[in-house]
Amino acid sequence: MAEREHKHVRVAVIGSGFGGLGAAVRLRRQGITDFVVLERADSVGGTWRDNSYPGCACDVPSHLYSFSFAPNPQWPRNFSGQPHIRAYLERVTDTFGLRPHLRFNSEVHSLRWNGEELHWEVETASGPLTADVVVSATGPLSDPKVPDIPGLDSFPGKVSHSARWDHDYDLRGKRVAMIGTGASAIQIVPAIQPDVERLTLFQRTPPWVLPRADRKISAAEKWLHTKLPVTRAARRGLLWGIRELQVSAFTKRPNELGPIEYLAKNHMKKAVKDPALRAALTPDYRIGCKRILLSNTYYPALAQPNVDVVAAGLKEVRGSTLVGSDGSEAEADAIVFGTGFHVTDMPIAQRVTGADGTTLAEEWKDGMESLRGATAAGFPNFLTIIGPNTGLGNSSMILMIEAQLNYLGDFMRQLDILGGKIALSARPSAVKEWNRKLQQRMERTVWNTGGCDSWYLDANGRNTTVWPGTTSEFKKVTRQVDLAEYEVLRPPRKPVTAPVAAPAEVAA
Amino acid sequence: MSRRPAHVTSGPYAPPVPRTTLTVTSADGARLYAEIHGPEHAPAVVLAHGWTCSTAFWAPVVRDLAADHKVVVYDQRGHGRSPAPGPAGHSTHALADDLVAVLEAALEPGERAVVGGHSMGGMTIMAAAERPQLRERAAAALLCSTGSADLPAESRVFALRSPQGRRLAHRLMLRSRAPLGPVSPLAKRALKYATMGAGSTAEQIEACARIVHACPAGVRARWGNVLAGLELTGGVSKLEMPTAVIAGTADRLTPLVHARRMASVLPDCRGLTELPGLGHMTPIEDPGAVSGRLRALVQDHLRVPGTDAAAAPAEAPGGKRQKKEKTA
Repeated sequence: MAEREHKHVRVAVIGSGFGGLGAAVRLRRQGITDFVVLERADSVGGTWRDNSYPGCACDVPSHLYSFSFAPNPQWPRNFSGQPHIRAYLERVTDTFGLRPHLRFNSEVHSLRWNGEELHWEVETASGPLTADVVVSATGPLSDPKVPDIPGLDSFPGKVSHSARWDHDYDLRGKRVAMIGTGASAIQIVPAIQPDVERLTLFQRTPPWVLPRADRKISAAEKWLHTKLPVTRAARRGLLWGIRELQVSAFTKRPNELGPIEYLAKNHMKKAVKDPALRAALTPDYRIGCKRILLSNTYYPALAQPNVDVVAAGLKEVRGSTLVGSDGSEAEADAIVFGTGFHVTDMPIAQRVTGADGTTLAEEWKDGMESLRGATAAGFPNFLTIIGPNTGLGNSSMILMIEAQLNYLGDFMRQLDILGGKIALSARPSAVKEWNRKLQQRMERTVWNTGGCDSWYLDANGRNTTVWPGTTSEFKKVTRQVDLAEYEVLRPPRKPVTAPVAAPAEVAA
Repeated sequence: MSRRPAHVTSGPYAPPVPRTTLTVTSADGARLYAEIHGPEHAPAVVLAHGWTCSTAFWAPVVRDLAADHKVVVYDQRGHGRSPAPGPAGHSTHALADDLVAVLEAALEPGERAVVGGHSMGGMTIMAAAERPQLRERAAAALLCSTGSADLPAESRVFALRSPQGRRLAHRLMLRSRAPLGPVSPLAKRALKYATMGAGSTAEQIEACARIVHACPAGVRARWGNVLAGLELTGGVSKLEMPTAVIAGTADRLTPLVHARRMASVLPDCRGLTELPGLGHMTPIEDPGAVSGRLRALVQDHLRVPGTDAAAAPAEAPGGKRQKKEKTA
């Protein structure tokens, strides 16, 4: 504390994507201005800043994929592209006066709980600080995952990941290998297919793809939404309501999803005429088990003569030859990994050291576990936005983020009510109970029974990412912080009286 | 003190005759009626009753404790024999003022006590958490069937599914000025449903009903309004004396969740006693459990200077003292 100027803030928010900016807005609205938003890059936007690959767009309608407190009547399309979403977040930053709180180029290196002072010691790329409360809004889709492929180092060409697109590298006339068939890959394939000489798609598991009802939102609609905000709200409400009704099929009655599979198969049959390719593109698991993808251009692109589909994963690389796990070989000048992100092993977890001196990653080595998606046992005054089991298979994550912001708001309110130097730490019993119930409900969901391996499941096959219910239910259970689920930590008393341990007795 | 107390006059739920009664003046000049039971030099217990109740509510507990404890009970402002203050006099702050005033008036200089509160009486203790007089006087505390915040949303008298619905319904109930009318069988059934466990006896229900119906509707509504907007969790967090919590598992008015929250937040919680099947009126539904817990707190935390646990029972209960103030 002596030599360096030590900055202390009430709250440190990590990340400036939807989660981090939302948290900042929420804190300001609650009258808390003593906070910083730590961002590793030099602009806001998070996932919507990092992912700028060709064709990048959100597969949730924009009128639903936006903050309820920052409506945008000007969305250009039903499913707006990444540039518009990023611009929206920049605008939110300005509208809500968040700029003074932003600390760019401040990647968080470590977080350590100080049990004496009851605050977090935060080491960042731009210097240290301390904070009473840390809000980790680092997002599940932020750190790219590149599989460990033997011989990849020997590849002479360009290697990149969908979330780190190099716009200076020209793919025109190149032989490109696309690894993966997830949400990013199916947007990249149709976007680059007309330009590249040859496109080889390595497909470990085919996705279910449904038509995307995308269209330009007309000037008349925009005008109406601007003049009559209730029409915009109604549009959002409709988009939300439809998705709420879908949930029970995913979580309780996966068999009801059969007709949707029929739609998806028809969608493919319209574009793909080759029976062999059709066979290769038809999934063998229940629709919904992996994320359902929306695209009108993916299948037509695959049917083009310059596209090869290898129905196998990439096994190894020998020079510029890519070898599939089925033995097939393909030559390439560039490899694009559309292999997703570190989701079930949240990278920030390795950098957070809790009250017991262990890191969050160590605590979570058998799978992530939190209380109401927000707090973890042994990590006082630490909240995650989009924490464990808060993901969605079919609706807008912004709804979940806003529910978690309610929880954050109540958490701050409770700290203020309790008063003084105080910290709230989730009781291990409460965390256990929450997760026991979650996993029990998870048993019959399509994600666990659909017969696939997905990024929703962790290394042990446990679903620690998806919320097995509706968004309104999540909103209901995160409305308030239940103090019975928390231990109140107070600064250790200096001298004399050793506090007598009081076993909580339950007499009959 | 003009109003005639309406409580049962015989049986275990009839209030015993106090050794002394006094009139205490609170910080804002409000007059409070207080009773002292039991031997003078015995360890002291001070009890604060809840919403729409009165000193009579503690009758069975006082009967049990008064043999070997000095028991102080008082009527919260507007209740029983304490006159109602003006509209501005209804706040948790005033409740704390009153408790502190009673402690100062009823206890000898330097004398300490175990302080117990039921429902709004528990809230009184929470509200007084930071008062130096309470910290000085209270050796331990008992929070009995009470809650610190969010009463309208958590109550289950109207078991609506949505929290907003519950909040609205219970706010209306708490603030209602509707007269309760005479103690009829229907009124008793309603009271039993809202506040007592399924196993409570006719005698217990009768005793509760007589007490609750005696509370004027205006007083009920004004204090109900205070309860509807309650926020005393901060007080619980600063209640530094050893504190025990008691609650009935079938309490609809202040469900168990409140007790669990308070146990979680208390700096020095000495256990949460869950009484299975009991409702909100625990001191009447199971006086033994409540007085037993108070007894244990006295045993563990209250040392009477100069005497052992066996306090001299020289003065028989009822022996009149000169100190008695006129309370006509």
